[in-house]
Amino acid sequence: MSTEENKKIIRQWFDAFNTKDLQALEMLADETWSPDCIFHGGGVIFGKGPAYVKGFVHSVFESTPDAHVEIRDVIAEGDKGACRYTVYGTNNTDGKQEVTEVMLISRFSGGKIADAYQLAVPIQTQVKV
Amino acid sequence: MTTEENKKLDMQWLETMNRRDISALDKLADEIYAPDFVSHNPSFPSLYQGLEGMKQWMRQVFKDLPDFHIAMEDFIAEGDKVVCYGTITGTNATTGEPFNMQFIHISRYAGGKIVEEWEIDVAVPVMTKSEA
Repeated sequence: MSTEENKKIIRQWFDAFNTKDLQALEMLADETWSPDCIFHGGGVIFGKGPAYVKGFVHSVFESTPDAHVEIRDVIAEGDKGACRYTVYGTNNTDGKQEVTEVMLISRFSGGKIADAYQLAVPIQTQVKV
Repeated sequence: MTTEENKKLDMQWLETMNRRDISALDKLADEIYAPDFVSHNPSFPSLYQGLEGMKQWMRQVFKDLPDFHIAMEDFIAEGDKVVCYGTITGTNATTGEPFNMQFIHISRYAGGKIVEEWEIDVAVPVMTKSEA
């Protein structure tokens, strides 16, 4: 796989996320993430493989039904790709608008993401009037 | 400047930070940072801006964390950008508490200098002796 193909996999995932189509996301999760992919960052292991991602997208759209991602940058070299993105959404329990800045480092193997290291910082919460 | 040259400058900067040599850092900063470079850091939005701001910041960092050290994990470079990520460790000079923070950093080069950078920092929970 070329670095351009790896970048395409990253963009494709977030584009699918923005459609909020859970069925399509579940299918794409199996294509995007390898079964033994570890999701980690900040000294924490969040989960493993497509099963973790599927559970994650379900919980995101439950708590933040209007969640959407804006990709700011995708940079790739060798078997790795970095993505800088911002997540926007309104928390449906308290109506707070949430903005989170995120950077993700993906390592690709066999056409799938085999390691996902991510750091995220919430930058703003506002109560919707 | 090629992508590889940009990557080398990023590496050189971090290696010099690890030597904590202020005069070498000042000299290198003049070479690789544009005077009005812009820093985007949502954890510390007002940390520093521009070359002079950054020089002040590094003096403060070495005061706060006299044993400041960056362990670099890897670099990812493409076009005019260099991504580097790793862990910063040190000991808080006031409290004696260990400091441990993971970072992902992106530098954008133009005309041989860094003109813009983005960073995300996340503190890593440090286990106390009783937890270890």
